[in-house]
Amino acid sequence: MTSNFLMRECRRTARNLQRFLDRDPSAPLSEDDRRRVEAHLKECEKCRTLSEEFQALHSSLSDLGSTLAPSDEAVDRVKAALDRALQAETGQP
Amino acid sequence: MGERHNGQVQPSDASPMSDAARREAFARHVEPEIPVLLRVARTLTGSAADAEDLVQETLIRAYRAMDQFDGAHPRAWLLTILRNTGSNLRRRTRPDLVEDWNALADPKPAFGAERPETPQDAVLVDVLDEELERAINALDARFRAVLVMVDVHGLSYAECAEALGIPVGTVMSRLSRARDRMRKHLKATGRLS
Ligand SMILES: [Zn+2]
Repeated sequence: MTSNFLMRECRRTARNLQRFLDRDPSAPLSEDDRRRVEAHLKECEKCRTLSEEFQALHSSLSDLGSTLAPSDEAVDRVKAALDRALQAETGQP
Repeated sequence: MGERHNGQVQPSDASPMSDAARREAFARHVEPEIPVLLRVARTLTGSAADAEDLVQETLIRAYRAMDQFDGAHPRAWLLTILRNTGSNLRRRTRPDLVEDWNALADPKPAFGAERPETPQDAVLVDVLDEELERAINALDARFRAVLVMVDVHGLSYAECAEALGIPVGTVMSRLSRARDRMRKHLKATGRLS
């Protein structure tokens, strides 16, 4: 495998990596592209490291998200305020 | 991608919903989304109190518009109402900030599904929250909003797009730049090796 080919595959992988990792329904990779990213990650340490770093970043951010869940009290407050507003509007419970 | 909803509250021309049906639809489709609405509102307003006000107003509008909801993507529908409500509230209270608000306008999916290589050989030193938050705050506001909605709060690309009123492609490009900056910032500070 020539290094030119490898570099081209690195660029291609970089372009598709976020979609590959996210698997978002809005932006699916074709099965072909997916396999190509997979194959490249197996053979290229540089891209594999990059991919692992993005996964690590995501999991840190996602962990942060689980600490930021709104409290049950906040949810109850907005529900109660909604009930009051609708009662005032319709005069019904 | 998911359908788009304009989230406008229009006078209903279809047969009006009974109060009981409206309450039932609201409890089924809207109430489960209140926590995520609070998260997104918090990201948009930057304050927990403002977020509650915004979500309250959003819920009132959603309740009134319940008969226009097609039952398909409640979260996307609600995020559109939230964005429109937020722009209106903001125009009324802080006309100077309307530009900023619009500039923020973009949401996230789960990275989680794909684990091609278990990073047993841990690339990732545990990231300290403090350093992580510093890196987030160093981002430009538009990039930050997308990263927080998608990576922190778990919105899909389409949901983030609804919340911010921007195209999905813009969500993707901002997300990619935000992640790249985060990765570099965290590497430079030794949090990601
Ligand atoms: Zn490569």
